[in-house]
Amino acid sequence: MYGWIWQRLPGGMGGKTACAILIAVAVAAVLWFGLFPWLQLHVPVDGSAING
Amino acid sequence: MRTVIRGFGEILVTIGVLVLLFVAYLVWGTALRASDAQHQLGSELNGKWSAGASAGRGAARPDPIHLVTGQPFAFIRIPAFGPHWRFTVIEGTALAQLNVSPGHVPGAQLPGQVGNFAVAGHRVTAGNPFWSLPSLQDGDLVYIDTKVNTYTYQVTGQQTVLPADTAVIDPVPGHPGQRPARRMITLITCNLAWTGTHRVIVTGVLVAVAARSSAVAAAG
Repeated sequence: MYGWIWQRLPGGMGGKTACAILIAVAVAAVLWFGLFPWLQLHVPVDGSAING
Repeated sequence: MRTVIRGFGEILVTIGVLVLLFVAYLVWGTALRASDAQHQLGSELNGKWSAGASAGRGAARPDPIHLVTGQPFAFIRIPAFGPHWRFTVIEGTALAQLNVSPGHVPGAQLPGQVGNFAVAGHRVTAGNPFWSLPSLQDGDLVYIDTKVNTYTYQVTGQQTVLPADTAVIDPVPGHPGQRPARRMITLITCNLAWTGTHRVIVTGVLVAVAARSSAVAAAG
């Protein structure tokens, strides 16, 4: 999977590395600011309320 | 065959990294978000209060509180947790509310009223507001600041209950259906930390009410 992506990144060694880091940061940002806040509302890791 | 196994391994490693990242988010990300929210809610509350300019000295006054889900209406201070420990209290105890602030249990009484002022807060995540709740001792003080008054509650007991034990938030804690005579507070958080299996309940009784003398300044 990662090998397949790596082959399709543009540029030489430097360009591929920069591109890979950029993609990794973008994915992490989407998870951190988008998916995780949403996920936390649906995964009660810390149940604190009283509900019958 | 080798490609398939390698791809499978890569997926497993990816899932592992994603889970670690989510744990990091729960520990640090939620704390940052809650801290931002606390600054915003706190200054919103102080702003609203100074607009009314009703802080003063002397005897307690009638306390007009309008509850709107997700909106702050009070501060809670517990000196046993440290001199700067302060959070807002907002209306509601759904995750959307508890993720930014301790929340008042809808339907429970308000600060100073006869009955039970019930507040729930996260033990972990969202800045760990009630992390130290189980360490409260009988006699420790809990201050609730509203627009006009400061209510002083004294801790009288602690117990561990199941999440469905709604009796602890009844007007007479533990005795559903009884007519309340005392002015109680109930603080609720999860036990053990990081689980939803039980709740720690700290109860207290109102010992003093006075007019709130100044803005609640210490940052939470």
